[in-house]
Amino acid sequence: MFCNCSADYRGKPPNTLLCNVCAGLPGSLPVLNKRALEAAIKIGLAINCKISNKSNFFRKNYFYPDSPKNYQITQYDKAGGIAIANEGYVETNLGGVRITRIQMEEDPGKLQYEGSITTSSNTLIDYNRAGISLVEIVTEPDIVSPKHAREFLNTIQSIVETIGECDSKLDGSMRADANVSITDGRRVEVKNISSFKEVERALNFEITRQKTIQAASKMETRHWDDVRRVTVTLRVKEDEEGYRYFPDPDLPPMDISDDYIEQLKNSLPELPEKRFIRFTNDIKLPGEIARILIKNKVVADYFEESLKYENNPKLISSWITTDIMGYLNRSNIDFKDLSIDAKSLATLAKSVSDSQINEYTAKSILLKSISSNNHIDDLLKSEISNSGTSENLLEIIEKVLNDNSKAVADVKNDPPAIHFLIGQVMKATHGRADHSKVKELIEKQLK
Amino acid sequence: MKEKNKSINAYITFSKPDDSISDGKLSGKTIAVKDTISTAGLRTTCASKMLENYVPPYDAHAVSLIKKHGAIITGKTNCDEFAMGSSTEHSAFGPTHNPHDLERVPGGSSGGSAAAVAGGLADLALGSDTGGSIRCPASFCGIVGLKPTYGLVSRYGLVAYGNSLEQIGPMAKNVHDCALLLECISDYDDRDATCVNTKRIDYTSHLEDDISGLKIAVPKEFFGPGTDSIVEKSVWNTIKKLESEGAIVEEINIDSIKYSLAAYYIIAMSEASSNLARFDGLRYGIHTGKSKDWNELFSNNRKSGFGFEVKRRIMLGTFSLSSGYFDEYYIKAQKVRSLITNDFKKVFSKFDVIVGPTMPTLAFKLGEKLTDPLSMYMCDIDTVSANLAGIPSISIPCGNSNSLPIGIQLMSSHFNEKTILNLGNRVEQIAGV
Amino acid sequence: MPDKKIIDPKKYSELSKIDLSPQEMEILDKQFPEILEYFDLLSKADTSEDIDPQTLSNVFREDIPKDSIADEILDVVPEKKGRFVKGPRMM
Repeated sequence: MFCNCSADYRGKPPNTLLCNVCAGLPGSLPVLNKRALEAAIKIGLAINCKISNKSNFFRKNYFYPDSPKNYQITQYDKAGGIAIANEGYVETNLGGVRITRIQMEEDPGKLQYEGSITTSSNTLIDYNRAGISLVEIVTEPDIVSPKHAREFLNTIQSIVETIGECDSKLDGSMRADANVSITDGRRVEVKNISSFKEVERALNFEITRQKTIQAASKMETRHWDDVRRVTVTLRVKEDEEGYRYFPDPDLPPMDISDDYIEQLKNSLPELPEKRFIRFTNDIKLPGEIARILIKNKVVADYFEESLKYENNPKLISSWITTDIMGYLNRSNIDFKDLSIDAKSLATLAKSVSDSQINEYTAKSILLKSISSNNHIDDLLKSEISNSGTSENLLEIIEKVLNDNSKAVADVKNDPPAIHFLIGQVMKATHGRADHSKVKELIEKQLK
Repeated sequence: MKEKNKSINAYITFSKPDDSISDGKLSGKTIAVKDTISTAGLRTTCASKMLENYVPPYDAHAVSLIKKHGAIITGKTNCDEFAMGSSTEHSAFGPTHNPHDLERVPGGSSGGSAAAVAGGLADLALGSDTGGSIRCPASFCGIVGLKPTYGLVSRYGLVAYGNSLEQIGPMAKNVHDCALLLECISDYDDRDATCVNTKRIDYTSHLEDDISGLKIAVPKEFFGPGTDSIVEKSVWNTIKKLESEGAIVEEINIDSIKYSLAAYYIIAMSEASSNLARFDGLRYGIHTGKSKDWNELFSNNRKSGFGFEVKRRIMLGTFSLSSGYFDEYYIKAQKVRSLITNDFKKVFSKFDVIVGPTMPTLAFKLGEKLTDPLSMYMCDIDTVSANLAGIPSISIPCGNSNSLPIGIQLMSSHFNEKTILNLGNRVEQIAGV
Repeated sequence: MPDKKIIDPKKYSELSKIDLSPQEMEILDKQFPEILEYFDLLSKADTSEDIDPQTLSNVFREDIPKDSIADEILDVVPEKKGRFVKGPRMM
């Protein structure tokens, strides 16, 4: 956030992406990355916040081995501190959540233990992550259940991914600290939650724990142990006075013009909620299907791209949400690594609309294409040439009629007997031919 | 030179001779660098046990610039630990002695730099000034020292003490060399977000400008009760001479100056408590070995690494920032700071320069003020307002008493260094010191 | 409202993570009140007028990654384990 080190720290050997600034060497100074400011504003806009025209940075002073300066450069909402955005709102399936504020801050380094935190005789510190830009989104206490919390997180995830400001597949790119209290109890913060699923588990555990002890008697911070699935005491939460917040003298404040905000607002892509409305109202997709599609911008974009070439939303969305995503999830492949491009999927859909192949055949071509390196166009071509086209079909029909002269004679007297012949043709085409078309052609031949 | 240094103790580290010297404005000149300024490959201790063996991997911007201009760095000079002090007695490497009288302090915190120049151990020196740390030793050692406008010189590489107050600045035997050095180090640096990207000036070309008509304000508050009569006399003498040269002199009142010392110390100590938090021994600096846990390790390292004055200031700073006291001390001090800055602005709308003594007294004896910290803090009474307001200020020798130098202080509005250098040049000529 | 003339050296020694000897605590216990009394001078200053200190604003840098100097920084680290900075126990 304040230096020029690469932010691509995942998977790198420890302490390889360091400079004076992020390592906190004596005499080093921070300078704000403009892109970090831009990202924070865009996120604020996407969750309906008011963006501040003036904003500044404060120091949060506390000692900890993962903190190179033993203070964190962050934002504050008192004593003249102005966070980048305030008063937002996000709608979820389980109810809306008000956003208190968004603040920009820097990430500390990472601590590793030989064994667990309680048994390790040493702590190993990697500062690669120190100084990475973070945006902290703080909510009002509007979240009513652990499930609601998870829904909220999913919503935020889909929003920030849609606007391209976060790739949640990157380890640790979205983290949550949950605060929970029951009636008459003090607030307990739960940290170290590694996934959204764990948020739900941790909150469920903590609520039960608090109910058991009949409400927490002191404000504290607890650590979620996802192996044992319990929260453990970490430290009594430092009250704000322990942090001695004051404005960071090394960083001039930010003046953010309405024009700049407008410019960034206009650069935002269509947000998930809006797209959902369009998918359900205009394209008339069922709600559950639309929900699945908008969850991931890549998927929604792919769907709409495909529609451009063949306007068959029902079929295409069904293939995407069931066959394609099912396969990708099972094989642990990212949607963006899908080997079938949107246009080819559309071509496949067109073949069905044009009755060149039936849906069953299309599905098997689809699955064959994803799982192998065969391109849909090639598979289609060979499919159609093998048994799908009228010319080929005519040949097969002629052969069947020639080989089954008795049945042909039967049809004249007993029309339903045509089904035997149709069956023979279907057999010969390995079930690929279009049933009604076969009937039509046979009838034509028999005249 | 090492021999000569033994009696003065101006240097902590001597640098190795360097053959790769470039050509530039400072070619052939030797320069000493205060040990709170980072020099790549050359030990930078900040006069502290904490950094006794710390060798930075990078140069401060000002250091790259003096190298670029061909100066020969002679070594790193002694100072008060982490720049906290006014006498260069709070150093883990022993005090520096005033070349004019070895039993007296050279001033601080850039005492080593001043003594090096005054004692003939360097042509020029770089110091840093948070509350008077360039001007005080310049005054006590009889040399010229300038604190630039806040934001003129990059702080990149200056180990931070009071980062909203301090600047690296030039120290030299005369005004011309001081101006030359300032020219070299005042280059814009985008690695310091508080460095202002304003037009830089050739300070040496304005030294001989005519001073007649220059409006000089003399605040009564700078001649407060603690001021030595000999200092007062010497400074006024000089002011009168300037008047006879055509300058227009008027005595004024700047009431808020009487709060400047308290405001300065609260702000400086608060910032210091945060700036020095990074010294825990994990990534650099003193490491006292095994301990029960990280909490104990940090506390031990810092106990062993920091001197008592530093500890005192960190704790006072921590106090001023903590809840319950924050509004009364830190916030109040910042408000007073704005008041002082505004008052100075009003003065500069009518006057060109503010003049007064740099220090209220002559150089005092070593050990004299060590038991009473407040009496030491009081030394800064005339210098801190310039840091609070961010305005440039220079100290120039204007007389002496029993061979102890006296310094006159000239201040001007933001980025008006050329005015005080010009006036300073004239002072130098008429003072005949 | 706590008695502002008393700074507890023990409390602030803990907050600042600086271990103090009993003698040091005693000295500070004597010196702090005097220093604070001087600081209290500020309460006499009239700061009722709202003065907006004009400062620099909007200083940014571009989002361009540059090479790190990790090896040189690791060189000055007192205790290491491989490329990790080695620290003591957490608990």
